[in-house]
Amino acid sequence: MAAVKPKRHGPSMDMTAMCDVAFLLLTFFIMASSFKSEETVTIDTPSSISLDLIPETDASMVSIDKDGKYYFGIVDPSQRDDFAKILSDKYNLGLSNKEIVGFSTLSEVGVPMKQLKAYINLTEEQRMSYDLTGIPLDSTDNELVDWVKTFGESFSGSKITVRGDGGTPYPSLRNLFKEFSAADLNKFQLITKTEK
Amino acid sequence: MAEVQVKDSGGGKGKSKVKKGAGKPDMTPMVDLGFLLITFFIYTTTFSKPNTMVYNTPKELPPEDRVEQELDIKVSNTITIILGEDNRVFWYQKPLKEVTADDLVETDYSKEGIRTAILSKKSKALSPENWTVIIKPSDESTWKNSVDILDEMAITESNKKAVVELQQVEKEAYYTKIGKPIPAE
Repeated sequence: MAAVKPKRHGPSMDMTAMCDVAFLLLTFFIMASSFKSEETVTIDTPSSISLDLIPETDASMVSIDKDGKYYFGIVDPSQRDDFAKILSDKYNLGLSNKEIVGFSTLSEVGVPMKQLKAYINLTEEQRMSYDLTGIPLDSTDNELVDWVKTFGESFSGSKITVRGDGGTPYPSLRNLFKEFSAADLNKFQLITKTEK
Repeated sequence: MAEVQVKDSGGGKGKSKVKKGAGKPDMTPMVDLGFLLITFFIYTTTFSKPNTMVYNTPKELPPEDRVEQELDIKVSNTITIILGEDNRVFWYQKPLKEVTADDLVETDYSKEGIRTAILSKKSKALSPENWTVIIKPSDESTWKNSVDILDEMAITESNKKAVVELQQVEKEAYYTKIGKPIPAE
């Protein structure tokens, strides 16, 4: 009889450890990344060579769409509920806790304060078809300034970022800078895309 | 396990034994998927952030505090850029009061267009430390035009810049140049 052949194995590697690491990292990245809140309005920002990134926290965001309507948003989703509470108290909007949570899911608000409560209570589908008026900002009613100022008071040292659509006509921006400058808000960060 | 399947010859005769499961699942596809997702998450988290550009507007002083400053800005140290309709852009280098339609030079937003104009004027500036760019967006220009020009300021290192309104003289020159009537206020 022939000698007992040693059992041949193919080259093998223990992948358990690698798998562990991979999933640990995966879990970390999923946890660490913040999900994009539902966008109220699509804004295609112009591009620039600037490399500064948007501040992660303590930043309010004023968006201007193609039609020159103004929207208000908060970059850090975890600050939205605190802001909603303060805004509600300051202007007697009477938001309930549930509505404050509802507010924190919105990346932008495009309705005046008076309609805010009703707007939050709409379902997602209703919001899609809702006729957004934008937040008023002109010499008779500069409500947007109140929003931004309230945010500035709530979170000291906060920045104002301006996110304008590339196709927005300049007069809407001029109006924005004029009204804000009259309210002593002079420092802005313009949101742009990375130049390709 | 990542194993190269070696055909078990089984020694030819005899009953082929049913191989007992070793209790080790093949983890290769799982690891593959894991790393694919990691790559995806790393990519989306770092690159989804938009960039920002600092933009400060001058403080608005109440009328009584305004001092009429006699600014000694030499014309050769400045360039005025008018952002027009349909992505058109004009520049001139003249005292404001003397501007006519013929002084406006039309160019475009490309590297060879406005950037070359700024750089050539900048190199001829009498005192480069006072080099100032005056940006005047017209009512028909878009936000993209303004950002593009502000971007050019960063590229050409023109740190002194001002965004101001078109004056009546310039309006006349600009609208004559594009062949349109001056819009009513």
